[in-house]
Amino acid sequence: MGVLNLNTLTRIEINNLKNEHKENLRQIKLTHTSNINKLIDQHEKEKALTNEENKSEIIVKQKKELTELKLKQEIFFDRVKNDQEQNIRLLNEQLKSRIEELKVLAKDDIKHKKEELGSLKKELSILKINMKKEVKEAKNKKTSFEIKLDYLEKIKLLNYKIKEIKDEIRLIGSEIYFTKISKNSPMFRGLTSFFIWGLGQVLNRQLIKGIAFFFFQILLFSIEIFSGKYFAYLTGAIDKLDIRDTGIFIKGIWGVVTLGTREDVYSDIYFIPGDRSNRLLINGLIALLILVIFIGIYVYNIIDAKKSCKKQIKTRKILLTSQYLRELWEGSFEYIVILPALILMIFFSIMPIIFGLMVAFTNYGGKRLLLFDWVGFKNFALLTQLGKTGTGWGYTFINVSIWTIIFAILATVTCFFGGLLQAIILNNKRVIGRKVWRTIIILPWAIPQLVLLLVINNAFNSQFGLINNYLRSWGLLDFFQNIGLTNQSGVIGWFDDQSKPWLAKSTVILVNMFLGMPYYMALMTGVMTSIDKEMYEAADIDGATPNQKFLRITLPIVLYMTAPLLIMSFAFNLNNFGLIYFLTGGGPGNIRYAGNAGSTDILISWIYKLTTDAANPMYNMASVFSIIIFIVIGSFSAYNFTRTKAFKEEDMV
Amino acid sequence: MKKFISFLIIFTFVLVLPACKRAGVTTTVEPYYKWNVDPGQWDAQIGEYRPETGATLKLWVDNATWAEALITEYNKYFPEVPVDYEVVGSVDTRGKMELDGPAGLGADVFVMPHDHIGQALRTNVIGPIGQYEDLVKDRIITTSVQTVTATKDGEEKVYAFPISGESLAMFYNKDVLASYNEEVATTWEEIIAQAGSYADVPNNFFWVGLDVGNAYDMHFIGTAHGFELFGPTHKDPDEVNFNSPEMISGLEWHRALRLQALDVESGSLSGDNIKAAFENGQMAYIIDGPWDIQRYKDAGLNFGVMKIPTINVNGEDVQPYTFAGNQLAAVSTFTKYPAAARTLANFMANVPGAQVMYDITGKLPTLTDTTAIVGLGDDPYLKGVIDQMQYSQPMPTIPEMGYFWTYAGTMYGNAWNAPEGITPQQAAQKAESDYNEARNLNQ
Repeated sequence: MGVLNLNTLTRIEINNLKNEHKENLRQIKLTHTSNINKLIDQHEKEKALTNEENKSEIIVKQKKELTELKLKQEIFFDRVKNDQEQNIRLLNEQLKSRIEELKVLAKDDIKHKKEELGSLKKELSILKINMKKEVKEAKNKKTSFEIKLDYLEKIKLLNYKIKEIKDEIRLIGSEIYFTKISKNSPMFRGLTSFFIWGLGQVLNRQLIKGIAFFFFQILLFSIEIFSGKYFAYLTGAIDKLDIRDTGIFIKGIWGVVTLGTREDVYSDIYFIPGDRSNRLLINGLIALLILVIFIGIYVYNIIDAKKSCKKQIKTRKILLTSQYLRELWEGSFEYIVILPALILMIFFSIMPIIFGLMVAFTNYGGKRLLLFDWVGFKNFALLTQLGKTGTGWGYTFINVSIWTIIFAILATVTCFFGGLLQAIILNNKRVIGRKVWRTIIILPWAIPQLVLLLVINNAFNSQFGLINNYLRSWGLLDFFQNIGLTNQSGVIGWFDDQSKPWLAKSTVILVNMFLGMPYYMALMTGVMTSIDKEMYEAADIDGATPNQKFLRITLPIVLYMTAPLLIMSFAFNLNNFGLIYFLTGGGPGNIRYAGNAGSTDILISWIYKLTTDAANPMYNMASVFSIIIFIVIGSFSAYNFTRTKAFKEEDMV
Repeated sequence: MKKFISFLIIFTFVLVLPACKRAGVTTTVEPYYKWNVDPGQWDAQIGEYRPETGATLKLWVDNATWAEALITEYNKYFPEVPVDYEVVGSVDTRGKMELDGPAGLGADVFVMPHDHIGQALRTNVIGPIGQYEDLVKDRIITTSVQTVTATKDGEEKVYAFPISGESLAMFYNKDVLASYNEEVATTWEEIIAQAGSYADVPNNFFWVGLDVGNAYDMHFIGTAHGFELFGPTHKDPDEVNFNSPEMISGLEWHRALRLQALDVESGSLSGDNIKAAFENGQMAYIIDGPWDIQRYKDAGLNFGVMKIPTINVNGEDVQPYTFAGNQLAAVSTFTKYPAAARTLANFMANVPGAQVMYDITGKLPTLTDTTAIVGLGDDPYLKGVIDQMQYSQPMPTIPEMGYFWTYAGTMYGNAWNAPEGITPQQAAQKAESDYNEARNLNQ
């Protein structure tokens, strides 16, 4: 018998009584109303029988009667109600005292059980000692073994008993615990965890969990305290606590907000380094990221204290920490597994991205390399200074952007359909030596692109390059001169004709085709060979022409399978830095552009030029451009990816 | 949601370890660095600082052999100062110091090209050189000292030790000249006239080659016509002088040079192109620097180096000036042993250090009196460079030089190519307005 049982029993008793009382009161009310109704009816009849003169008298009399009745009934009702409440109160008090008694009993019980447990443990140790002794003294192996077995059986039994008693003790403990819990407990536990992390959990009898939460609080404060110079200040080693002497969190937040205020002091005889805004920004970001995690734990700590208590009331069970951890492990296995990758991502990928984003809103660059400031959207506003004199940055930005998009579209489309064409031709059975052709076409892929681009750059040199020299020796230059393709020196300026920027642009697309087509060719050949032959056979039976077979079977399947790559390729080409930078370096120069941009510069290669100007880097502007590129590529890719059929139906595979 | 937050708990467990470590060993920058070396440390008799006791130094140079030889030699004079070295490219040292210096990981002495000095002073990574200033002015040629003289906080001072000097010069191929029975030219007019008659464009033979879109290489054209970059003091960023009559007449000469001698688009005349052509005997004269001497020696070329020929401007033969370039040894602001660091940097710019540098890297020392350097007097190639260095001007140290490189290069290219028929004057105007726009953008 436990406290719990009596407790619940009494509660049921009280509840029954309460219900009974309620019913009782309801009945009384019912009779009262019917009494009143009856009286009213009677009065009506009386009224009908009396004549006009006596009417007023009778009405007064009747009213009096009615009030008297009501009063009488109310008094009666109140009395009954009071009696009943008294009853319940008494019962409740009885219950309380009974519970107190039972608690004392239960505590006694626990005490006894613990004593019992102690004696059992003692017995166990004696048993073990005896076993060792007897085994040692045994005459031969066989008897010693038997003795041992005998003892082990006993020990097992004893251990079982000990476990049982322990369980009983725990059960009684939890029963006592539940007598204390009330309706307001969850709120209260949440509140205690609000002030001291894990205190609610400790009250919830989840000691280890509570300690873990408390540990986080201690950790948070100790990181702050130990990373700052608070102790040095308290012991008087430093006489003033500067904001720069605080711990990583306070200093970090201060750093992000102000980006530093103190300049270097540089003189003949000493040097005092001041604040470095970029360091403050990065350290602040790290501090903020760690802080966010701590806040997450803190909030969870409050919610958990409240919810656990609610759950305990509902299930009348205390979840052990080990059980809780097991539930956690089973419930969030996938998160635990990706944890290492997530840490790497936060600090090696997400943090730099946030840093890059933030730089766009500062004036970091040029003369401000040590200390810089927040400037809001000023850098973005610079872009809108559209072509004031025809050479503004806005003009350059818009034109470079347009070329970037044109380049990305053309580079993607030409490679895609060029590769398709190659694949179709090379898949035709009438082509002789298909494998040889395929190998030759795929060769550019085997050479590092950087090397290839530098070689191609040399080959297209207008004076010393291979191509123009061949054209000259074949006498073709005159022909090109006649159609107006040559420059003032009478050669074709593939990459360097400033008067014909479109020529350099076309050459870039052409070179990109040469480099990019083999990939699509290989890919589409693969797709084509995997198309079910039966489809073609069925088409043959239906009398389809080769053209129809191509248009109705091959093409739709190939497009369907490779369309997502088209989008990926587009996004890649928008940022195809290597091609532009190593092939043309952005050239030929454009006399209308500002910021040293060239005719073939795409945004990313222009950004590179801007940021790597050793003497005057413009980190802020480069960051602005990166954000714009990100918005364009990110939204475009996301929109298209989610619309592509193959992407939608990836689960079908 | 709950899952996710629970997972965050575990995540933070993992985070705790590095965080604890961080909290424990946070290294803070020393509050400040003293350079006021105790006056007793200066030994006026031998003109050296006495290194601090227990000083150890870290040196950043771009060549391990040089570093080792240098340290061995240095320790003969200062045996009590152990020196450690790391190989860092000289153009990277400044940027690396900006990050590593405040973190306490930087070098005490490092080598950098002189055109980084403006930026280095802006980011406060190099310190003054103290008592050595007068010695440096005495010992080292003036143009080189001027490249390290900068104004910071209104005070003009020497901020580093020039250790090697360089300038462009005229390289000529003796075999090619001999095959055309020509003597070495002394004026550009001769060269242009010869180019007009000997150039064979279809076979890629040009008499003379220039990296025409490169502001460093083309600077001689401007100076010959009287162009003063950043004013007569070479320090005034408001006076870039692109759109000045001198520069415009220089650009006109530049354009004329193309039409008469070298009809190739600037984009196809990169440094690599002309060097390869020179090596192949396709060019008799090119403008090049001492760093390529070894390359042509290795190629077995029979070549000579001389000062750049004169240009006839308004009926007068003018000797063009080139930029004087220097490699500097600088002392870090973050050094704990300024006296020791200064002795090492000074040593690199002194006779024993210069000898080691010349022996191993073949670079030209900046000493006024080079007779003490064994072997330098007999060097036929470096002699031409030394001759030109008499006619060189220190490269400005103001940070606006970054814009100069970019926009002057484009200007020379535009004047050369004349895209859409723009005149040299228009090219100069565009360069000037681009320069101003870029400066305004960075205000």
